Parts: sequence; structure tokens; C-alpha cells
Amino acid sequence: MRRLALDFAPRPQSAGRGGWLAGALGVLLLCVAGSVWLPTGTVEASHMSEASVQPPLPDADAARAIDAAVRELNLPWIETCDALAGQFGASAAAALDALESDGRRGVLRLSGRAHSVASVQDLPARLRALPAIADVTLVGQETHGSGERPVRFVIELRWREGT
Amino acid sequence: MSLLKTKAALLRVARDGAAPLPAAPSPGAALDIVVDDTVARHWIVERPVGLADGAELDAFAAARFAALFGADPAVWVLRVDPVARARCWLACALPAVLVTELSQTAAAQGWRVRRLQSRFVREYNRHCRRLGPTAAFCVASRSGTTLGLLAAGEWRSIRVHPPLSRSAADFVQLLQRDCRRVGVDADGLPTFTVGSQRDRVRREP
Repeated sequence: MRRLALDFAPRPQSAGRGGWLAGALGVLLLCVAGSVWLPTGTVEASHMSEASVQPPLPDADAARAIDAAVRELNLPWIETCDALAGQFGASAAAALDALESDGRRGVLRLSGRAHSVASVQDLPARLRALPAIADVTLVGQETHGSGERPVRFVIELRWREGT
Repeated sequence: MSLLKTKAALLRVARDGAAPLPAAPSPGAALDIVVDDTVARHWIVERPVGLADGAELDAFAAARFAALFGADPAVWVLRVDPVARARCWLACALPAVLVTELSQTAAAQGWRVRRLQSRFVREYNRHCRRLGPTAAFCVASRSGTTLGLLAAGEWRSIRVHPPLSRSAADFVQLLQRDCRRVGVDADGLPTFTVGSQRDRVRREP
């Protein structure tokens, strides 16, 4: 039969001899448990390796597509549109017709019309002054008719990484 | 510092008090205090259904103590030995003033109280490994005869009778009465007896 736990002795305030003994036994138990647990057995290790098999890495095309998608998602659209709105508008020398994002190439393609060829030529320098724009390329321009903004242009912007 | 268990001095507390406690031979020397069973109160707590925590157990044990002994549990210190999956638990109580006085006196004399127990509990703990799950354990002393009954590993009864030297009934009659009261078969019941009056138990048929 087991002993009775019926004792009226006041409980010690601090860990005495028994406390030290319990602590030493605890450390010993920890060491033994650690030595048993750490060297993982062959069978267990094989399961662990199976469970942690890495999925195949994407090829170059897939990686570029992923990068493009991430870049497009990361484009600060609101800030970009706000910045471009200051350069184009009904009262400005040039107005935008279309704004397309080409995430694969990391560029923003602007299509619009301008009063004159000179105002189109000024656009790259003005756009480069914007903080989010890394590079500006005037892809093409042509004159159509004799309206208010007869000169059509296409400009590609490359925005800064991380913006 | 030795980590081995050291032998403790022993102070016996009888019904008429204890001998004066000398100063400890060294500060913090271990002292075991044994209180006579006629001073202590023992009883069986039948495990209630739906016990939530220790506070409820204490309240339940106090209510049973008051019902059995008609004493105010507030002036006693109660202890219960709650064994997992057992239906009955053994409980013990000592007068609170005695527990406090003994602890303070021992501390003032430089002792460290290692155990403070009733004699029955102390003797049982010394001999419990020799007992089977169904047995009678008896402390037969000059002050009284404490008889505890175990059945299937659970406490069924504990009573303090007058000392056998001044009892109208012999030990067999006491055992049969206690066994009949809780439905334990006394015939062939293994009996383990300690104490100065144990020879009177052995001489009985």
C-alpha cells in the first residue's frame, strides 16, 4: 500500500535540501531526455526527409512571370497616377489616352496626344524628374490631322524598384 | 552539504502535552513530531461527485468533520489524502492551536519540523509496504487503540477505541464490530498491529 500524505508540518519557505536534490534530478533528466531525442534514428530521419521534400523550382520563364506579377502588384498605382496627373491634363500641353502596365518588362506604357512636337520632346525630361520614375523612353510620335492635340505619342516609363 | 536523508529527532505529544523541547543541536536540525491518536481526529471522506477543486474538497471535509465529531472545523487543521480513482479517502485533523504552538516552539528552539503527524499516520507510513490491499492496521498503545480497515486498497473505516488494557471488549470484538459496521468480512482478515499493547492483540484468539 502507498504512504499517506497527511502531514501538518509547515511548508519550508525556500528550497532546501530536497529542492536542490529535485533540481539536480531535473537537470539529469533533461540531459538524458536530450541525449535520447537529439540523435534522430534512421527510420525517423527518413520520414522527416520525406516530409520536408522541396517542391521543384520554377524554370526561368516561370520565374520571370512570377517576378513580373510581383512587380506589377507592387507598383504604387495611386502615387503613380497622382504624379502623372500633374503632368497631363485638359489644360496641359499633353493629355493621356491610355496607361498600360507591362509587368514582365517592368515598364509603364503611356499613350497620349500633345499640342506640338516640342511639347512631346519636353515630356521625357519632365517625367524623369518624378521621384518614382527611373527611366523614360519616347518610343514614338506622329502627327494626325489638325485638332487641338494633333501629335500622338507613346512613352515608356521604368519605375524604380522598391517604390 | 549532504544530500542524503538525515535522521530526525522525535517529539511525542500525548494527551496531557509534550515533554519540554530542548534546543536543537544545530540550527535547522530535523524534528519529527508525533501526536497521539487520542488528540487527533481521523475519519473517512467518501469522494463526492463533481468535485471541482481543492477548496471544495476542504469544505466538504470540514462539513463531514463537523457532522461526525460535532466540533468547529475552524479551530482544527484538516488534511485529506485524496487518492486518484479511490472512492474513500482518509482524513486527519489536529487542533489548530496545537499545530501552531508546536511549529512556533520548534522554530524558536532552532528545529526544522520535518513531519507533524498523528501516530497512526506515522506508523502506517512506516509499515504500509508490508500491507496488502485488504487488511486491518492497528496501533495499540497505552492511550488508545486505533483500528483502520482497508478493503480492496481503499480505506473503509478508522476508529480510536479505548486502550486494550482498560477496554471491556477484546481486540477481536473491536475488529468484528468495526468490520460489521462497514461490511468487511473480519474472518481471515490480515491484521497488522504495532504499539506497546500489541502483545494483547496477539494473545487474543
